[in-house]
Amino acid sequence: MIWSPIILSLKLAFVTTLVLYLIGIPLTFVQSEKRGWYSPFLDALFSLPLVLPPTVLGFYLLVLLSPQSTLGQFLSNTLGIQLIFSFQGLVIGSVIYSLPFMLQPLSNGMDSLSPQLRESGHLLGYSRWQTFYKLLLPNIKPALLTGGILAFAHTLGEFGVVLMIGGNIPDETRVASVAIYEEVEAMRYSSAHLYSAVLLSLAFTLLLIARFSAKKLNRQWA
Amino acid sequence: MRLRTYISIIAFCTLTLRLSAGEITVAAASSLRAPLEKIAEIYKERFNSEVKLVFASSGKLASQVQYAAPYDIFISADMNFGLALFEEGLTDGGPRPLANGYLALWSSSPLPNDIYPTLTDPLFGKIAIPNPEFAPYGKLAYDFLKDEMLENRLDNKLIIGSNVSQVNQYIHTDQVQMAITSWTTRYQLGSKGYWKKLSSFKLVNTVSLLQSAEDPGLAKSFIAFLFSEEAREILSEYGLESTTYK
Repeated sequence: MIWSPIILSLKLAFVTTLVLYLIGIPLTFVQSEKRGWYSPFLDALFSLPLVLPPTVLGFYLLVLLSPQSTLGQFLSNTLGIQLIFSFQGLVIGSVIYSLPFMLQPLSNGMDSLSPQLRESGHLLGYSRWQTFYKLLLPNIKPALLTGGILAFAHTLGEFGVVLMIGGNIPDETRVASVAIYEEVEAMRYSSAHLYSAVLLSLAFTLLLIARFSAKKLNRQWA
Repeated sequence: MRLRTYISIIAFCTLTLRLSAGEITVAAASSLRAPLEKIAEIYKERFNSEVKLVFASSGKLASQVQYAAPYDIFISADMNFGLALFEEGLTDGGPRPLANGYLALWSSSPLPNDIYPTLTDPLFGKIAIPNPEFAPYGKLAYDFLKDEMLENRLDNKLIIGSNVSQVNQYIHTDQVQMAITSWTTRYQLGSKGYWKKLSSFKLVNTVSLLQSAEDPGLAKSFIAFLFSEEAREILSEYGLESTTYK
């Protein structure tokens, strides 16, 4: 029981990162290969969660998914799912909130590739997507790893969005960051210390891994 | 093919381990944290049933219930939030009075009978009260301040805690010099500072069975335990007077 917030945090971070890979890679394709007049607006939109206070995102999600909203009612009446106060809702919130942490490393990686790679793809008769998937993506492995680790670590530390749409329900939405807040409020400081220490070490270790593996991969692929 | 694997992994991960058999979620006012944790422990052991407690200010919990929070029972520090939910059809029956709670004045050093000059002294430190909008004890605290004609004279000394527990935490960590909180806190932090029971400021703590309860039978059995002699004794250990209603 005492570890359940940590396990929940890890689960949330893991699922969010997976989803972000699934969403992030196609989005990077659109961002880098299909530039147009709309690109600066898209870039700004996808970078919003970086600067937006988490409570803004939490608030809009609450409004969007609440049982009184059209979407909320459709979800609960037709599909029988309720996203507010559930783990699934947390995943949605985290995916939006950690999106820039996946996208930015990926698009930086794409920018650093030489244009000759794209030209080779064209010579080989690949479509834009094929070039992207077979030639470009494998060459930004360090960026892929960095994006994943940053998204994971960022989701671990999330508090505002989680509290607003999750509701601090034990074993369901009480992730470690929220549990710390709860334990401090309950004056159970030893638990607060435990969760904080675990989160701190996890975050630090992840960042170390990110730094060392990215460097190592860079040497292999440079 | 890899896509399918990814999606199945995600689907698997999002399976929440919801052990619906024998589990109830109780949303309760923060002021009742200490006695309720004890009562729930006894109930869990005796009836081998899982009881999850979620503590926050009564108002915040009530608004969560309006957002279809998955709670089975709502225990409020007052009658009003329970009534409001009943009027919206979110509870099964009206709020049942459980116990009377009182307001308490805490200070780190003894206060004179006339507190106005002391509190308005610029050298006097911070004063914490629970949020008057969401915490019933907060509203009472504000009423008390109004009685003492202090509500506008405290300038930036007033710290509004989100609920009783947060105010208690400020007391415990010496972050404030005075606080107005629930009298139940006196039984948790009694050795600290100076306590005064403000008997004319009373709240009726109530219990409501929520329509969102997954297993109303199970919820009702916990509610019955709340009204048992044993539970009442624990409540009175924390300064909560039993009401004469059953």
